[in-house]
Amino acid sequence: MRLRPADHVRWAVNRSGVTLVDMRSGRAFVLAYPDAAVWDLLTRDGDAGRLTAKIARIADIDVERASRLVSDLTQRLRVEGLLASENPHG
Amino acid sequence: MANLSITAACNRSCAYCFAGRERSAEAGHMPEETFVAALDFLVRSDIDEARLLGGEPTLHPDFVRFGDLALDRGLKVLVFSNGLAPERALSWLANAPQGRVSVLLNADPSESSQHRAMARLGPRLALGVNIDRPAFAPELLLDLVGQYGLAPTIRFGLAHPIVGGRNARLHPRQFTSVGHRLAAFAPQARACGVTLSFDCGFVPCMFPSGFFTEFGESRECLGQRCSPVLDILPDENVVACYPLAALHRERLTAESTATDLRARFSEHFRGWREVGITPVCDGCAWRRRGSCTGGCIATAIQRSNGLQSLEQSEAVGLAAASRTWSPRDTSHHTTHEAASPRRDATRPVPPGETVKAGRTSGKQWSVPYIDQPVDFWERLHAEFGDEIGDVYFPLPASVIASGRPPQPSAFLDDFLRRCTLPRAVLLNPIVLPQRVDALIPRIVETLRRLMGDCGVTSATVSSYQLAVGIRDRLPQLPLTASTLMDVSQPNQAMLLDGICDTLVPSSRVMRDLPALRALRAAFRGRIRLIVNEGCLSGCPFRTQHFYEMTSGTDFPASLCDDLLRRHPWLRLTGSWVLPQHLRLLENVVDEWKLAGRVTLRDPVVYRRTLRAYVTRTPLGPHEIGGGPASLVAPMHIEEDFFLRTLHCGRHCHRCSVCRDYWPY
Repeated sequence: MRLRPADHVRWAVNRSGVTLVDMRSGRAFVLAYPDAAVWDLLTRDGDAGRLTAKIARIADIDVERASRLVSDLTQRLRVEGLLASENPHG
Repeated sequence: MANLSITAACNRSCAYCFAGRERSAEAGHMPEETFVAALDFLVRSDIDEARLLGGEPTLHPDFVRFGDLALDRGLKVLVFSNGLAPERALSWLANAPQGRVSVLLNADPSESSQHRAMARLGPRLALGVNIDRPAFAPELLLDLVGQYGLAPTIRFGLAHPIVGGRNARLHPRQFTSVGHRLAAFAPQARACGVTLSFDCGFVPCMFPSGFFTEFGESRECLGQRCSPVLDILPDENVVACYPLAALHRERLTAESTATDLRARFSEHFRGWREVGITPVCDGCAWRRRGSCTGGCIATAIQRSNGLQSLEQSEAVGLAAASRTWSPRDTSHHTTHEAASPRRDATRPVPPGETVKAGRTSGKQWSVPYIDQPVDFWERLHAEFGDEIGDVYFPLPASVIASGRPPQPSAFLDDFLRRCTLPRAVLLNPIVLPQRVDALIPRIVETLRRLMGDCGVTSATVSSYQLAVGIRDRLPQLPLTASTLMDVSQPNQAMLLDGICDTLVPSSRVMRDLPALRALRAAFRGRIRLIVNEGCLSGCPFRTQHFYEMTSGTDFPASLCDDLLRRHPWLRLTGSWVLPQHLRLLENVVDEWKLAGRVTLRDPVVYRRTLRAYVTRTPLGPHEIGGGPASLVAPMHIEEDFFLRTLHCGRHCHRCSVCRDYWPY
């Protein structure tokens, strides 16, 4: 599963995290760290598996915890319509 | 307050112009029925002033009639003009009822033809200036106020970016420099009886702490000026302001009121209020207290990612016109830690704005200073316009060496004072002659002077330590990591995070596509690629060569001569890209750099080479300037061959492709 920011989302990196703006609704979402770091990595490489492994290494946490961190955030973002997913084979 | 943009026509072409594509010929003049509807709107909205805007509003063929119509409705009239008004309009302005018609002239002290309007209108006319670079000279405006008895007030504006546009703008990093300059100017103005006023987008943090006592206006008031001013366009569309015009429009109807329209625009752009114009806005005390709204929304949008396609943004933005907003979601807020700035958004060519035939897709060029009169640079500016991002020149050797032999500089002072192209300074010795601590005060002082007096907008630095020292002391000055910093690997690029805004990769990887991709992924700033460097990738003589050039010995023979005599095909592996092959590197590069402070000294060759690169006109490798390992005889380079060398990894010891390709 590959994830990517939805087409209507813009974001800017701030000192305390990342602010996402949904261009359709005008809503702003502020992600503090570590969620901001997940977003940052996600925008570079949307592969969920690799993303989890990276977070585990960077934050020095076990893969299970990293996986929870990633899945919690991506779930929330998808509910808000801020993330799109694509099947690399399809 | 609302502005009536009565015409798209203008007789000037200011680089910072906010009107952008609204100034296109199709937008034309506002018809009288639209103007009357706009006056109705003003009256309905309890607005007592018709602010006529353009383009240049006095160029509207019915300007005088429109002015009379506004006066007949009991409105005051304020005209935003560049001062180059037709006689009929000027006469009307000069004879209109005192106190009911005034002009805010967008002053350019170097434009002597504006003086005619000043002389005719005297106290009916006030001066305004849009600041698009840290070096500006407001003192000249005081002279004009005194000389022509103008209204004793000067209005300052900041050059904000047009979202999706390419106008000259002031970067937030330069705001502090501007704020301090204005603070230094305020007492002079007061001594002349002149008051200062400020347009939208100023933020309290750009001014020194004592300024507001001196100035008399509260910081709170100043920091909250980014509300939809409402610009009514000639076609009855209404935009929040020109810089945001591409993102959202409303239609002027018989029921519209300013309050309603402002509410709709505010709602539409409210999310961007959370972003702020700099990465540190989110921790700002002014903002937390509600004393600052985070500056210009267009500037905030400009620093966000991915406005890659204005068409897409427009579609999204326009579709959102009637949607409702939800409150800001802060449920994810946890701990804070520092973040690095990201790469600036690319600057797409907006629909309706055409790229000159054959020109590159918006990537700018950094080009070398050669010792030519200002006329040469003005011609270059006229021919290439925005394609030129900056002209780079070395600091005097008395301050720090530049990595090249001393060069002619008879016209350098004139170039610095009068050239209208952005200028960047080089500080790139191959080795620092002293410890950074000892060097830095003199360098910073020189840079401050160049930024303040000459409008220098960025610096290229070859030493990491020097870059750190400059960034600490002059955070507003954008820094570029020179190719002499020899950054070729992602781990090196990562070290530059937060220190340098732009990276010129090492000559080792200028023609190595996978390596450039890796650098781009690792570096959050912009990648600038030298296109006509002639050095061998990883040349073993490079450091010694630069040392000999910098240390003032005679211009050295190329130290690689003997190597190239034995293996002439190595010239094919040099770090150059021909104009016709730029597109192969398009996706890993944000901007281009033309080398050649020495090899392109001839102005004719300089222009021909730059023109070829900008227009992507094919050249042979012997025609591009280049360095010691350049090809000196004509040779056709096929794209297939060049493409192969972009991926080969320079395994020359086991590869014979270049040897076999060499024709001599």
